[in-house]
Amino acid sequence: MNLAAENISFGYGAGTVLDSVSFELAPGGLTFLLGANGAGKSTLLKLLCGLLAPRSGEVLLDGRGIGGFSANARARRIGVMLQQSPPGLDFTVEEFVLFGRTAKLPRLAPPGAGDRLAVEKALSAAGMTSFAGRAVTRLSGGEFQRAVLASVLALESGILLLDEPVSAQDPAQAAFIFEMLSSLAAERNVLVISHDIDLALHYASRILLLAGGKIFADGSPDRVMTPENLARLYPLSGFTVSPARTFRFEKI
Amino acid sequence: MKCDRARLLTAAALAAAVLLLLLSARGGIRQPGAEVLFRFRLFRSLLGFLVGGSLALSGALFQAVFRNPLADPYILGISSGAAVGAAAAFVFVPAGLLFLCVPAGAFAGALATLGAVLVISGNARSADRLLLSGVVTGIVVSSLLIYLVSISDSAQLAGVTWWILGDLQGASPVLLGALGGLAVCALVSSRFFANELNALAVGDEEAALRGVPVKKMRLFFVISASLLASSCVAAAGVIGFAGLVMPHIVRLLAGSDHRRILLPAFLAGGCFLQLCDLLSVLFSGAKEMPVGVVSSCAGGMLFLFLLSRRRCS
Repeated sequence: MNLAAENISFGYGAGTVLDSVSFELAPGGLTFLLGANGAGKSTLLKLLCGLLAPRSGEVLLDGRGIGGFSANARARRIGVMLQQSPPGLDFTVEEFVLFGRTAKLPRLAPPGAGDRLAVEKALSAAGMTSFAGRAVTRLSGGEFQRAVLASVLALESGILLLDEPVSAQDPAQAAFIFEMLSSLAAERNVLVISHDIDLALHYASRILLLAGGKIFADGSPDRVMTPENLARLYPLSGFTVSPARTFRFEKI
Repeated sequence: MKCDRARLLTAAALAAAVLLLLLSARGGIRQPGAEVLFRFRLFRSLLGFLVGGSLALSGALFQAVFRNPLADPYILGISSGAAVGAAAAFVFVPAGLLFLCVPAGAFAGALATLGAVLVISGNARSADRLLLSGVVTGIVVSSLLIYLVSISDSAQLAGVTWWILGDLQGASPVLLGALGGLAVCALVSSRFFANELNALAVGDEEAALRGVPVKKMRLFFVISASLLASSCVAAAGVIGFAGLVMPHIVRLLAGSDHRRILLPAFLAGGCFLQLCDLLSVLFSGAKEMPVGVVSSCAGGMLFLFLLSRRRCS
């Protein structure tokens, strides 16, 4: 399954957020999208999944314009994780994760064995199996974020677009999730938006840098993550970029 | 597990509804003409069942669409609109036509309020905008009610007050048929779109990502729930708490998945109002106690109990 942006531009009101952005997602490793606050990362993600329509250019899904797909057909192919707050009603985690498969659920019959298995696997992949019966309103921020991730994984889509999937996780949980996502990325297209440079350096096979409405660097971490590029990515007067010593959790 | 609980709850509520129907029809016979009275009580209990069930279903739909467990069937100002329509009938229509004009006026008032809310909210563009439009419209419409009350004489005032308190005495086969038909249509269509309702209850953006046409479905559920509530108000006046509390109790027992809880919520709401009606007859003295008074008292106490349970857990 392929997803590509072809010269897409977008803006809110008269302003321009994205200007002629082009790239193609490919399976075989995690792709990270990095950018400063307000650079347009989440907007780009919403354009890629068809939630927003570009001013010009086109998003192609399997070589066809994404606008040509029905909402249900799009939803079955692309799993999207956005920043989300818990719903007001007391859904259990299991129910909440099952709703991630809405586009694939039978209309009147109860969920089938395939649906149940997908939920079970997604809960396990996100480390949420033991929380299955708990109400989502009673989860901590990090637990709820993992429930949201599980609901996206339960869709079993070929494309995953994830907006800051570990922003509320501790370092060990973040490593656990990225190990899982790395193994998924061998067969699926996975795009991750993140502010964590260390995670990007360690887990990305490809990094896109977004600033000024354009992707100004696209390539492997070694090639793209230079002090010059980082200074351009996060411009802040009076600050400079220097390599730092960090600790990291790794799979044994 | 939750699925079994929902089935058990459905069976229990159905059995309770039949039992209450029989008890209501047999009880309260204090005058000659037992057969006529039996039918009167039977119709009345059936109307209580349909009104309570419809209000509970309407409440469950509103709570999901607004993602707010405190949403009730009257949240969009429908009760205020209906009250204005009914009050206008009491004030301006001759007494002989009130039996027809009060429910018709109430229904028209509720629908006019709903129409205004939908226009103001830009056809339910967002849940928040819809909610705010409903609250503001309800306040404006309430001022009309105050005006109508201020120009009414004492007989008209008594009529308006009694109607606002909730009353099941107007039960007739035609009314039961109309309300029953609407309730069945709403139940079947809501169950058919229960996957979409679940997605909407999670969030608008999340529902759109799951392939749900958010605006269309929200409009569908809001209109269905409002029509149910409007019909109930037109048939029996303003009955409080059935639509707010019963979906809570069902969720507590059978989970929050709307594919499972819509039917039990309807049945439980029906039983609740049947029971309130039975109590209102049993505990009435020379003058009958309006069923709305009993439902508000019982519903309010149940709600406080649920709140304290939640705090403890």
